[in-house]
Amino acid sequence: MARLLKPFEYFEPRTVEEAVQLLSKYGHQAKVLAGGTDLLISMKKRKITPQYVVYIKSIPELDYIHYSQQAGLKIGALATHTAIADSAIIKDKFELLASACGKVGTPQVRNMGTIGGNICEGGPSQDSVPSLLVLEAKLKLISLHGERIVPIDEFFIAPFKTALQEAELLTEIQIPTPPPRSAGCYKWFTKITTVDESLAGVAVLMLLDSTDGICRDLKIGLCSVAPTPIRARRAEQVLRDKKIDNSLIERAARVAVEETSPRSRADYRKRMTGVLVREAISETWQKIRQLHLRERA
Amino acid sequence: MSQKLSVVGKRIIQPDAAAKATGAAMYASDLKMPGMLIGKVLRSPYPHAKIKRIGKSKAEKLPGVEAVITPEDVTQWKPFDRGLKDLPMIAGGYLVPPDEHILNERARHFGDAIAAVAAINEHIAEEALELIEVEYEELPFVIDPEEAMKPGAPQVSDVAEGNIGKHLSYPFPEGDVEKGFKEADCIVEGTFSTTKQEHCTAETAAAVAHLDVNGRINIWSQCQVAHMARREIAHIFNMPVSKVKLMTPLVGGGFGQRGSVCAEPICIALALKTGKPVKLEYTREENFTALESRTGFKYNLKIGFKQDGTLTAMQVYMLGRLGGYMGCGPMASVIGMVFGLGHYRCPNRAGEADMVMTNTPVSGAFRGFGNPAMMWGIEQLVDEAAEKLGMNPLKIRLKNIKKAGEIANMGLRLESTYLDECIKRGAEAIGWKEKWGKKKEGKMRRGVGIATMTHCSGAAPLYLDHSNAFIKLNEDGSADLTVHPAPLGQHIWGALSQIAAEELGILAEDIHIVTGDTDITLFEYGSDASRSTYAIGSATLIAAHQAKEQILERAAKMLGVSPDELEIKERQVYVKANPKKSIPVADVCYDAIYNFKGECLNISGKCSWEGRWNSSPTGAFFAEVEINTETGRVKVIKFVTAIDCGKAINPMTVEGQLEGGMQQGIGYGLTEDYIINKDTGVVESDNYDTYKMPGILDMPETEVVIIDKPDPKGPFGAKGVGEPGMVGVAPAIANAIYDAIGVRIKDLPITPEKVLKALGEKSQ
Repeated sequence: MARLLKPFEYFEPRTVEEAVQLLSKYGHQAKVLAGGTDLLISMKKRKITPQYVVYIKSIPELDYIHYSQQAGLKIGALATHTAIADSAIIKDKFELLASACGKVGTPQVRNMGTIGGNICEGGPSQDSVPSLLVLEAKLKLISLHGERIVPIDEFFIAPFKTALQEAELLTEIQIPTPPPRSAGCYKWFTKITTVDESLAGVAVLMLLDSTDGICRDLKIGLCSVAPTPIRARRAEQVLRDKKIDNSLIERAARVAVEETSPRSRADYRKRMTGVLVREAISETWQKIRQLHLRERA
Repeated sequence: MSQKLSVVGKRIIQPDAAAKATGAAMYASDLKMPGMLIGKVLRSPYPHAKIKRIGKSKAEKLPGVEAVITPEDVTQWKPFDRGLKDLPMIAGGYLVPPDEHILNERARHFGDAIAAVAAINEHIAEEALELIEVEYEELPFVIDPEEAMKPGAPQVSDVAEGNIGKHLSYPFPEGDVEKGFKEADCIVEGTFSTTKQEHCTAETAAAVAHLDVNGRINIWSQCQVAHMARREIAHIFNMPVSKVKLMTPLVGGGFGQRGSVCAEPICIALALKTGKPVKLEYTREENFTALESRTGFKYNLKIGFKQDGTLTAMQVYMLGRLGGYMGCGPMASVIGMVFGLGHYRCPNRAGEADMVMTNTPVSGAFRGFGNPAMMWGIEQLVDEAAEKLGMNPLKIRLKNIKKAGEIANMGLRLESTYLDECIKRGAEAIGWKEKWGKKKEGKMRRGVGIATMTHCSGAAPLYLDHSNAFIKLNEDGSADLTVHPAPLGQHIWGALSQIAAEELGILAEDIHIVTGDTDITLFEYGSDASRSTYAIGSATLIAAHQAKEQILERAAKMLGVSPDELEIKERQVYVKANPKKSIPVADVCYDAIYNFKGECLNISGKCSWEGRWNSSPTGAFFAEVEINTETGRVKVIKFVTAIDCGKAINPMTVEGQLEGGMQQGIGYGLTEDYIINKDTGVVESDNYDTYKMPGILDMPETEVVIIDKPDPKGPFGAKGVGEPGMVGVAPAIANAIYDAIGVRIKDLPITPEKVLKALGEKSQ
């Protein structure tokens, strides 16, 4: 890895419009710089050598966390992992996202890195993504031609390849409020040490009927176990509309494992996916039952 | 030896601590000189390739580039041995031939140096590298030592026929191992393998060189053996030693990697070509691939025991991977056998090693040298035998450890050992009695394990063990101590100050260390083999003693008594029988320097010290681990190191050494793996994103138990403590894992996959 970056022309647009104009003008030769925690490494490794770098942290209106019951959660693309992990409203209502963002990198990386950058990097191991998948987040992409809204499960195409077009900018992540009496969590194992990339990450969101204990909805999101982050849709089916018990959870975990296609350390990753899915569902199930008990009390 | 000590044994803050904590301290990488150029090295992307052609004109034409050098530009300089092991080793008896050029026409490993540039800044230097056109002819390569030994394997080196770099034997064989195994009631054996751990020094390799107005090479070098590096540099560049001035700045970690020459030869070549000062600072990736890392072994070990646990025989055959050049690697096998086979009392011992050349980055010295590798297997087999014999692991060790006066690992007298106390007190600290051998159930299982070791204080009698110290007293009663250890972060300046101050009866802060310049310092073998405090400390003590005698002689005259009636305490010379009668040390020194009575003397002392004995530090390591049987993950819950390092000159730095050793040892045991792609020969773990050292969150609760009993030979009873801290960590963890889940992992590192696999096999 080189220590220095190749020369490039650098821009600090003040508005989204200015930014997308630059992106549209320079096309594939331009790269968006936000927190820089992924981009600068790629540039030092010479994997990317952009001629133009468009720094967007100069656009203050992209850094926000807004919530209302009706509109749901809206996160500006520039919200840092720290801001999300520490946000009272996200910790309260979207805990699985708070814990995923709290897992990313180190405190320094979380202070610099943004959720928008994490998503747009498009790698298989982006920690924020499984939670966003199960929360059914939508991404607002802006270009000179206007804006479009893309559901996050349509965003990831291949490793480090996303639906984001050349002159588009991700500006907002929109997350609907999960139904009442739902709960979720994000669980992961790192590759080797405590502060390390995820070997496997699993987000679960569950809706349970308090009257009959039937699972009305279940979503499972996975990262680091396939070319892109994925939903384990067949595993979700195992529990949906069923009365949950441990053997059913085990079965869901087994099915989830079948849905993975890890490249390196494949056997271990598969096995650990099973452990994580089982633990994540069990933990969520416990949380939900606690919730119901509290409601009754 | 019960001496009342007033400076030695105190937890003094090190002289350079504040500068390091605030960032003011200057390392090689901080050095700047007027007109200084920046050097960069072009490295082979292939494990084995012939350089058919190098086009350098494009790079040379880039404005700001001052030199581009290729293998043909350095032919006037001599090939060399990077490990500086071209001196005879007294036991083991081998020489390493010069097998490497400053730049090489045939790349022998991924990361081998092919060409270099010097430019006015780093940016241009990096750009220039990309403009150098190299036409490589890829050659067949070999990564694995066993493959390399097969007939028809690609030849790695011109100096190692059949790729056998060296075949070496254990230098202290004893008895008859065949007979010993016949006498044994219980024989345990196994094949163990260890890894190419990387040193991960905080500072990467760096050097600054220039040719001064007198035509002398000035080189700022991090080398741990400064004077020997000066000699090697003079040899390479066809200069007399007097034409090389080597300076040692603060060094951001050595751990043995800086025991070899690193960035110096290329840096000097660029300085000589350009006639300007050049700085060459390696990237982290270069540190991983261009320099030596720990020698990895695969070895067969066999140990015999009597029914009562007495050792009857030990035998090992080691296969070691050297890499593209020989470096310090061969010695790792000899030292491993010396420490491993010499640790316990055993009447029949034998060992052989084949050290094999491969197309991989070079192997060499790393904290503990071969000791951690050998104890990895020995301490696991001792536990295995204990189980077979129905003995407690503590008891079987207590039965076989040596006593003072026996022959120690290095073939000399074992001057002192309190390993029995280390075992007992360490066991108490980990809670052995309550925790070991208990029935384990459930998903999370805990266990405790032990490992022990013996190390050295210096290289005697295997290698040159020559140290020097010079001390002079200033007119204010302070002293300048001239020594040349490598300041690697081990706070050696503080330890030597404490030794000198204790002897002189002044304070540690009164000692000023004069160091880091071969023009000024006397010959110093250097800082390796856990020798600085012991060997340089011994020289310092004797030099200080000479100066003290001069102080006493002159003070006696001034006070009108005889010298033996005096003592020095806290900067003051007292008449022992009448403490009211005294004179400040400063007054004595002042009177000696500004003496108008015809008796001028700068009070001073000088010692050339050569190790004729070698006090072995010993230690016991205890791990408590928790294993998740579902994931195979091992967490170290608590780690205790109980150390017999003689008298601790400064307990705070002893603790620092041992805690650092735990971190390195846990990395060696659990997390660190140097991965070379078998198909491409490319090093895949060449930075901290892929090569994982344990971080602060991976560290257990730590406890250091210092026995603190003086050794009869070391300065104020001190023994070496630099390397011991990591020696027994990995085997203690392995033994704790066995206690927890009943499986043995014999190849490093202990990964979750290996644990799960072993658990699976066990349940079948």
